[in-house]
Amino acid sequence: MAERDTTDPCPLPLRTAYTAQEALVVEDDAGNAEAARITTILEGILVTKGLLAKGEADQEIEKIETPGLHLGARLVARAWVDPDFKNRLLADGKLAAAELGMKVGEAQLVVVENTPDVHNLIVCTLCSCYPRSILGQPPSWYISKTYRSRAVREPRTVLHEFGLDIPEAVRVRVHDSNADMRYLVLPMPPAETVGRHEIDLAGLVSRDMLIGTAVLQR
Amino acid sequence: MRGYHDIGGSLSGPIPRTELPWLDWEKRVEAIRNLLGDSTRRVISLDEMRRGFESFGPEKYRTLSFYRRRLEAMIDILEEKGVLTRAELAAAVENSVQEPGET
Repeated sequence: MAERDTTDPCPLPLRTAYTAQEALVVEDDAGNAEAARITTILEGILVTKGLLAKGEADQEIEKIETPGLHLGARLVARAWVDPDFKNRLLADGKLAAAELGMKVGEAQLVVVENTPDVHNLIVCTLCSCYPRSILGQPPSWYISKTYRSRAVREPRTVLHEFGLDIPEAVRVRVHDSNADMRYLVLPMPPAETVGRHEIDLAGLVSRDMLIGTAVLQR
Repeated sequence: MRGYHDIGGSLSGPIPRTELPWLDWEKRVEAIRNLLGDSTRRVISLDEMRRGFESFGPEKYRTLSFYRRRLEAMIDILEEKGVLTRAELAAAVENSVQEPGET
């Protein structure tokens, strides 16, 4: 598990100034049109060569469009009402997700629990690894070079910019994802969960809570 | 030596808080890579994709968008493996642009 002490001086280039454009490179209309054309042609060539079946990419697109917050929220809500499930979720995210019929495509899903003493934050500094089979496509800021570089260096400042001030007494733990290991934050539950329906609880969960850039107001 | 993609730890400026839509071609790039990497095909693994755009050189890495990086890396790897050539792809793209005018 990647955990860095943010007070530890590390021998890294301290400042790499990215312009807003560099932090998150966005194609202009011409760039999008060109990329779309190349992608379509590439798919056609791969079909001709027998590597893809016709229409297979469309089916796969449907599959990757399906995951989203609803899946992550269901996992969290179940963990909030069922302590045994929570333990299984923390022990092996992939197995626990399978109990609810969710298939985690990545090698491992590591669920990290927020407590009164620890706040967790997820990043992928090298690339943009994200629990896609549970949450779908990552938000644009998650793949930006500035989030990737700063989240491990000054997480409290980054969280402050997201409107979240973590008290000094609470430890901030930053998890650096990789291709095989994807993280998901288990947020702290609302003050009262007894007698509340799982579905209502799931409705309280936001995507950013599962990344660690937001918390449930308790 | 740190690679140009290994950017964790630098203080680099404001985080853009935009939420961009996921475009159709971007989904298709992702879908094609997933299929080429599945257990029956095993043509391009995720690690190979990363090695692909981590070998671009800093200029290309800096100027391409996230999914354009993935598209270009995928083409590089397909060329490396002898599945297709850039010239073949470019010619097919060129033809597709001309076709509407010819018919």
